[in-house]
Amino acid sequence: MVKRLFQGFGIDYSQWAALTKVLLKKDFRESSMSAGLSHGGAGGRVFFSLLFFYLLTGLIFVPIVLQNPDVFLTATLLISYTMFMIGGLILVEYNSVVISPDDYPVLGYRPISSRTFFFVKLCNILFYVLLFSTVLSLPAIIAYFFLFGFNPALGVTAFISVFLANFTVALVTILFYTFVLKNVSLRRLQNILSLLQVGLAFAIYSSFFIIPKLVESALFQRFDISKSPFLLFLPSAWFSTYLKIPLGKANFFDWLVVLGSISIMAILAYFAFAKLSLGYSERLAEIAGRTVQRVSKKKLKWSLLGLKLTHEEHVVSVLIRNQFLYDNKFKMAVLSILPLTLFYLFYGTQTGPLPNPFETQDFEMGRTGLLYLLVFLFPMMLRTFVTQSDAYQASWIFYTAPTDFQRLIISEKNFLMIYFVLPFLLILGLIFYHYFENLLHALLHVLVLGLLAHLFLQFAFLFSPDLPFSRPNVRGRRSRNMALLLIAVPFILYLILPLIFRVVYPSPASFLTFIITILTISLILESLIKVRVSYYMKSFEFTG
Amino acid sequence: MIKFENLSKKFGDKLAVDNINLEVRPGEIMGFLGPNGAGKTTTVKLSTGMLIPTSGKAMVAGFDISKEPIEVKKRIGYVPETGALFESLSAWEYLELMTELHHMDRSLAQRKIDEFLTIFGLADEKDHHLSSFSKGMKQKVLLAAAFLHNPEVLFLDEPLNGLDANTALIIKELLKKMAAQGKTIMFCSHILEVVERICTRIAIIDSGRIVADGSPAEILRETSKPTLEEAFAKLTGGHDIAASTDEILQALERV
Repeated sequence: MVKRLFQGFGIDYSQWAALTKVLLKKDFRESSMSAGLSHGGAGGRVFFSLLFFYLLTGLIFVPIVLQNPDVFLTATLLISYTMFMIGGLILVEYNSVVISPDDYPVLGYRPISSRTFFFVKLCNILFYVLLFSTVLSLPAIIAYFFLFGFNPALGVTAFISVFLANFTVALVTILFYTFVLKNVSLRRLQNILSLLQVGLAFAIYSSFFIIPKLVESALFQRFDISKSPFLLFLPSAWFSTYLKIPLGKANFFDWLVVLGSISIMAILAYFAFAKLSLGYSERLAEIAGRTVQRVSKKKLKWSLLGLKLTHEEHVVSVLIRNQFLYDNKFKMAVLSILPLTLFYLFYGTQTGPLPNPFETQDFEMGRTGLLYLLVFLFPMMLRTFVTQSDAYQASWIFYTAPTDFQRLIISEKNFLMIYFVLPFLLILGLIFYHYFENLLHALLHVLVLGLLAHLFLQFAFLFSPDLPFSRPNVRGRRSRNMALLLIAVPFILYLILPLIFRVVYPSPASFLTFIITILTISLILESLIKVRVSYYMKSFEFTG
Repeated sequence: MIKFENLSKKFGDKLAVDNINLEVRPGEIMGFLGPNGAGKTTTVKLSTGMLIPTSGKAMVAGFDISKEPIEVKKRIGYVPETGALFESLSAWEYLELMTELHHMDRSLAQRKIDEFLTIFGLADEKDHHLSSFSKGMKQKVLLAAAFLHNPEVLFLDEPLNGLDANTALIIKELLKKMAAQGKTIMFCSHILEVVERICTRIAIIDSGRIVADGSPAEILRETSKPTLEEAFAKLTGGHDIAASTDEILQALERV
């Protein structure tokens, strides 16, 4: 029966079954195996901790659903959130499911039809969409089950609407990739993806702040798609209309919206069906195989801020710079920090003049904490990124060359401080100067922040002294680390920084003592990193 | 049978395969030689449906690869130069997947997989991930995957890469016997001694064009060279060996 149905669609059932099973198995094993090779099987944990984190973030919607009787409004918020998250996940972590040329060298010469190959790929994507949609929306969906007494129809419809909305996101992403790939080179596609990721990251980060504001906003007092047709421009509103059906509130216009959303999805699926073929995979493999890329003619100078670079420093500089230029995952990860930075800068300065901690006795962090948060978050995020790469197997060179691991790791840290943190501190210095109207205070404040950021970075390297780009990219690790940092760093900062500002800043003597203390700790940490690396070096093994 | 008619492939402006005409008959082992980047692998990829020709035709096992790729792929075995495998699968899982893709009877497939793994000395490692395999072990899995479904035509791109001497010997003998059974074999390699020993015919490609085609003896006669190595160097514009080695030594000694 099933086989016949598949045959009717031109899909080879046994090939589909075998490939679907193997590709999912492969995905899971690659997540856990690649990490396991290097650092004790953390890949599975990364995947499950990402699921756990998403489940936690989904909890935010439980009070929103329970406290607001407007199901259409809350469902629109929930669906918008999951659509952003699924879109982001496909773009950042799971784009290889759509744009990986890896399958083609293994399967290209086997007798698989394009249609079967498409269906295998689609099922692969559907699996992730279903899994992450469920995890992101589960707490809210449970809340829908019990919103008006026990109402299973509402809960089930909520789940279906979330899933279909996210499936639509996946289809749009597939079509976007295939359309762009047909018209531009892979290199340009990667640049477009970078830009898109920056835009999407901006949307995701800002949504965390905008959603609570929208909930409070008077705009949503009459949030109804039939009364406010402008909502038709919001795809999440199409799918949230489904929830009116089990409540018996769907009018003719709502039914039209529901049918319209299903039709759009069917049209997208039809076009995606035609695109995601073996021929598409062939094109991917072909353009990925064309390795001729013009390498930037600009060469790195052998000096950094006038200081002559050691060989290890030069190695780190060349590696990070070229990875940024040519490793799309690294570039996308670094660029995704940019919108967060801009948003925090903007939002952190929205509450009026920034308090000058040299002059404010009772320093309250408030929203300005976002500015301080960045100083610490920024280098920690970068640190995660510079240790991972798809080309991690090339790190064998570190093990066979007479490389000084201590210098290499210290150079990695210094490069991050000088090239990424320092420019950011200069921008912050200008902002502080604008508000404090005291250059010395602004400079001293930036000095303290710089030293503390450096200290954080040193702790990170002490805790895990990894060689540059020597760890495999594990799906979900970046998202998970970013999420953990976003939770942990503010918690520390809102406790420690106000305390420092209150105790240390009032007197020059305490300020000077503090600086000397930080510098001393920093020197000790530098030595500890070296000791740790030399100790750790004995167990350093090439894991490629 | 393999037949190329005016086969060409362009990558952007670069003509990787330039109007090739060649025929390999059943029972023949055709040695396909050429310097790095000459177009060998591209030609093989065009024959296996991995790439689409820019112009011309590639007929394999009686089918046009552009028009009936599935029919061709059912009848070919291919060992890619890249050694691409799904490394997170075990040897058993990988071979099982390949038999599924070729619609082999499951019990027969399992028996064959067992046999091949035993012949290649991989029975004890059959459940280990391929990522933990050495290069030679992976090559054995690739060879097993190419042979399992008993193909009519074999495309072998550097098939002896990484193999130990004993296995290499087995493969060379096996290829001769398969050819004797009427299979068509295209054998790409840089190891000229091996090519000379097992191939009944040799084609040399340079800059995408066939520059020689014939038996080893015919090629030696045509180039007036005593060895295949020297004939190859002459046909493909190889450097003066003595001068090149001197240059390298001078570069090494430079302080």
